[in-house]
Amino acid sequence: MLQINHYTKQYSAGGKKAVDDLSLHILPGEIFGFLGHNGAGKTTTIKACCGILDFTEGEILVNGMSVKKKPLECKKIMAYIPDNPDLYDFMSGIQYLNFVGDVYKVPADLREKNIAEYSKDMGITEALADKIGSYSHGMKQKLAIVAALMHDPKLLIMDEPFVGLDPKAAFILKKFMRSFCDRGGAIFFSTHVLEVAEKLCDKIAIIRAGKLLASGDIETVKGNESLEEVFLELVDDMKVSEEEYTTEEKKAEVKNA
Amino acid sequence: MLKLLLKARLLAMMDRIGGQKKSRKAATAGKLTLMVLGGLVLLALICGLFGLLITPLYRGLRDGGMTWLIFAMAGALACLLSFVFTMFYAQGAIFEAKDNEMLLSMPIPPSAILGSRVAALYFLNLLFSVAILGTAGVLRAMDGGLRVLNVIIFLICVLLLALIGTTLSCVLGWLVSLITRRMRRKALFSLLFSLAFMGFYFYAMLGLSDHMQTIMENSGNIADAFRQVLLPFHAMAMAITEGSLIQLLIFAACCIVPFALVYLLLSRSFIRIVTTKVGAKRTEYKGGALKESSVVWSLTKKDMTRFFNSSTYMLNCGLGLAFSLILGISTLVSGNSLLDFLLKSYARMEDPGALTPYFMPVVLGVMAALAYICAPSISVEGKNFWILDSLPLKVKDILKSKMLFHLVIAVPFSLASSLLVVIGIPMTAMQAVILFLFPLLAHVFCAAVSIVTGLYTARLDFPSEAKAVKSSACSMPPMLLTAAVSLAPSILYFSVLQERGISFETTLLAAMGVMALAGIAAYAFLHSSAAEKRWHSIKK
Repeated sequence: MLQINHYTKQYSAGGKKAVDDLSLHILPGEIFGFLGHNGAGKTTTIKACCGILDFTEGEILVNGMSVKKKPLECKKIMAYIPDNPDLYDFMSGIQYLNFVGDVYKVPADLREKNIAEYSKDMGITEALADKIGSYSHGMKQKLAIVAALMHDPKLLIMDEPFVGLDPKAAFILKKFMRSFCDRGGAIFFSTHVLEVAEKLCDKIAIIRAGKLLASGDIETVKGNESLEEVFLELVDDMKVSEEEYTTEEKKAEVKNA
Repeated sequence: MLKLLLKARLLAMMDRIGGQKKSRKAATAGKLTLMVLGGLVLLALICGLFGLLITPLYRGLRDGGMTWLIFAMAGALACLLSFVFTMFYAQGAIFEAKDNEMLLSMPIPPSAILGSRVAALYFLNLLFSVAILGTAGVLRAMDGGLRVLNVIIFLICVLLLALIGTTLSCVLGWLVSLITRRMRRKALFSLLFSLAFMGFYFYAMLGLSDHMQTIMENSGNIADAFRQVLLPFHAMAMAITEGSLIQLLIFAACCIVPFALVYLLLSRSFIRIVTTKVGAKRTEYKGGALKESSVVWSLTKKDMTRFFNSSTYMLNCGLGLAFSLILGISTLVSGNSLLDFLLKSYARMEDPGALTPYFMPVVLGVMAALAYICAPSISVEGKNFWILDSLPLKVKDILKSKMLFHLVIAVPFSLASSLLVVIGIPMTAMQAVILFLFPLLAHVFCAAVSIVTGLYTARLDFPSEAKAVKSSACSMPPMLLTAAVSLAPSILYFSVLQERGISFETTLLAAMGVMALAGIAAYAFLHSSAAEKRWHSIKK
């Protein structure tokens, strides 16, 4: 569903590589967690996958289509939820959802059904008539999630989706993510909440300073340790050299995607 | 602490001036110097213009032995203008500032937070005092009526006068904040208030000479009013003209005591005021049928919603529409008197006679220049740009929708204004056709220039929507070009074409052709790869 091949992003020519030669493969039915410390290159990668950030080298394919060559076709079958949902404050929730429905050309009956269902799940139905500007951060996040699901996407790309969500909404989102993938969808999301990644993800990738440290099935990556221990071992050891990465990879029996 | 907060505000301002340049220090210093110089020139110009306006009144009052009255009236006017202009600033910067809660969470006394904000407000009010009361002082000084003591008292009065405006702004800003908190249509409230004020301003300016005459004739009554009701201004005027220290003390008490009381009251209840979240009235969503729209129309509706929810956007980019409607209504009610006045004032034309029906479309065209609605529409996307970027949207559809958004708002105003004028003054069928088409095409031209300018001057890092809307980089080209192309037929006709036997009608038709071509060219450009490339480069 999502194939990232040798993706490299350099913000300025000759400058430091924000992401260096990253390759990942997310299959239908998979929840793929993307872990890394702040500034590791997670958001840069996610934005490139969504076609909103150009990249220097490599290729990103969504359902076999190149994000660079066919951005619109790719965007039609995916949905993106950013870490900080800056939505249109001047619109009401329902106006925004209807706007998104128009853009994706979702038939009126289907959008009514989806809005009713997902808004109820997220607990924002009653607030849909209010201006988005009056929403809390969590409410905006919930609205962004409902908007992302409006057109029944095949691929969901989410940047820190659990930030700002109350426990109930987080629980519902986790449940939804599982059922979405069980129906054949694929999810690629970044998170700092390792417990969530450990319980929810089928596969994970750990990135540090733009370089992939580990990726593969969650059980394979973490082995007998907890994900937290593996993550800290991989990410926090700032003295680890390029050669040592290989050793680390061997130690953790990491499979590259 | 107060000094720290003031420094922080100054740094924020300099950061805004410095922008994103790497050599920020040099750029900031240079820009700050330029801004200060520009501000001083502007202030001098305003003082000069105001001086020219009030000189006859000053001379009349001086000859009547009531020189003090000019100071009293200037003081009252400065206060009136300053608190009206700074009231919304006070609301936003003191009571609804975004960093209030962050600052309150720090070990900073509320009085210091309030003080730093009130200081900025005082500075704004001081500008009005300097501009208006300062002008009266200059006139008096040129007459040789101010000695050293008078000058010192005058300077103290200028400083004190700004306190009255500051006090009134604080109180009214607080009231406005209280009123609008639960309002769902805050933008409409601000728009109506601003339009009412503008209406009052134009009414005052259009009949200035008559008003001056009325003041002269009733100077005795006005003087009594100042003595009995507007006591502080009377005291100030007497202090300046007579050099009276007692009157100065009375005036100082009138300025300082209310200010101190308001400041004390506000600083004591500052936490409660700024942390009380009332919020707009909630409306429960009860479902209902949703209507499908095309992508372009949906984007257009989105931009229209943004426009009608922002009084700043409406006032800055849609003022021409209000003006054209006022001209239409005025023509319907009193014939071409407003047009005659405009031609007399700005074109020095005493009697346009048979050409009146041709001047109307030109004037409406010039008003279209003040409705550059879609020019800032890309910049205002700002932090919302990711939405358009992540959705499966064609760039040409986004740009087309922005041009359509401009026209959907402007065209009804244009047609209504033309219709009112057609009913208001007699004209031939051809003249009526031109009256409808010329302003309409001026709007098309303005929309064309606006969208192209908006695309090439777009910035997504404006600190607020208001800053993006007020950006002169995107507003000046459509405004000046539309005004130029609308005025060109008149200028060309009277300077060259009339002598060559070419009619005004033909000249107007030629200008309409140019406007239509520009509209078509812009529409074609929106479909080009150059436009798409530029769009994608905006976020870089």
